[in-house]
Amino acid sequence: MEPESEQFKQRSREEEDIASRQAEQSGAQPAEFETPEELIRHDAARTEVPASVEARLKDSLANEPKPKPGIWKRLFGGGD
Amino acid sequence: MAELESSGESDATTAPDWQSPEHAAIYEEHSRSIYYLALRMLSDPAQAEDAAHDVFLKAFRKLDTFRGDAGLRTWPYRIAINHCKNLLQTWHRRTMVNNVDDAVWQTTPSSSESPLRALETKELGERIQRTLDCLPEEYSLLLLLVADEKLSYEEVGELTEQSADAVRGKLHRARKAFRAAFEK
Repeated sequence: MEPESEQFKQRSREEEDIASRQAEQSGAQPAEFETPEELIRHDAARTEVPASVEARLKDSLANEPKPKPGIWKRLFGGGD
Repeated sequence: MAELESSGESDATTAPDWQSPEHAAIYEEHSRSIYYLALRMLSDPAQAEDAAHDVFLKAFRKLDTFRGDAGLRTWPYRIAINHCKNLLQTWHRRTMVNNVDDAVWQTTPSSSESPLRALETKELGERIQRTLDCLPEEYSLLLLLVADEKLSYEEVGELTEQSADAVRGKLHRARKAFRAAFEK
C-alpha cells in the first residue's frame, strides 16, 4: 500500500467524520423522498404562514365597505 | 364588566376578529397551501405575503359567487394562480432563466427512480426554490399543485387548463426536470 494513497484515504475518512459531526450538531437529518412532489409536500408542511397575513387580512376585511341592504329590507326595514 | 376589563391597551394591539366564521374556516383550510404556492411561484417571502393577503381578500369578496360551487376546493388556487401569473408577467421574470436552464435538465440523463436525498435544514427550502426557478413555469406549477394531495389530476388539469391525461404526461417530464436540476 502506497503511503500517499493511505494518507488520502485517511483524510477522506476524517472529512466524512467532520461532515457527519457537523450535520449531527446542526440537527440536520438526511431524508429521502421518492418523488419531487413528496419533497415539495414536506417543505410545504414545514413552511409557516406569517401571522401578519392573517392580521392584515382581518384589518382589510374590517375596513371593507358594508354591502348595501337589499331593496325589500330598505323598503320594509330590518329587524336590526 | 368583562368588556370594560378587556378594553384599553390590548384593543390597540389586537387584530380585529374575522368578519364571519366562514372566512375563518376558509383561511384555516387554505392559507398554508395558498401562501406556499405564492412563495414558490414568486420566489420572494414578502411578495408571497402580499399575494396571500390579496388572494384571500379577492376570494372573500366573491364568496357569494363561489358558495355552492362544486369547485370550492380549487377556487382559492385559481385566484392565486392568476394573481401570481399576473405579477410575474408584470415583472418579466422567469423567461430568461428558463431558456438558459432548459438545456441543462433536458440533456441530463434520467434518474427517475432514485430517491431524492436532502438534509433537513433551513436551506432545503432555498434549494427547492432554486430548482423550481430553473424549470419552465408550467412544470413548477404542476409539481406544486400535484404536491397537494387533496387535488385530483382532474382538478389540477382544470386549474392548468388541460386534460388529466396531459397532466400525467407533463408531470413525468416535470419530475425528470426537477430531479436533474435538484441534483445539479
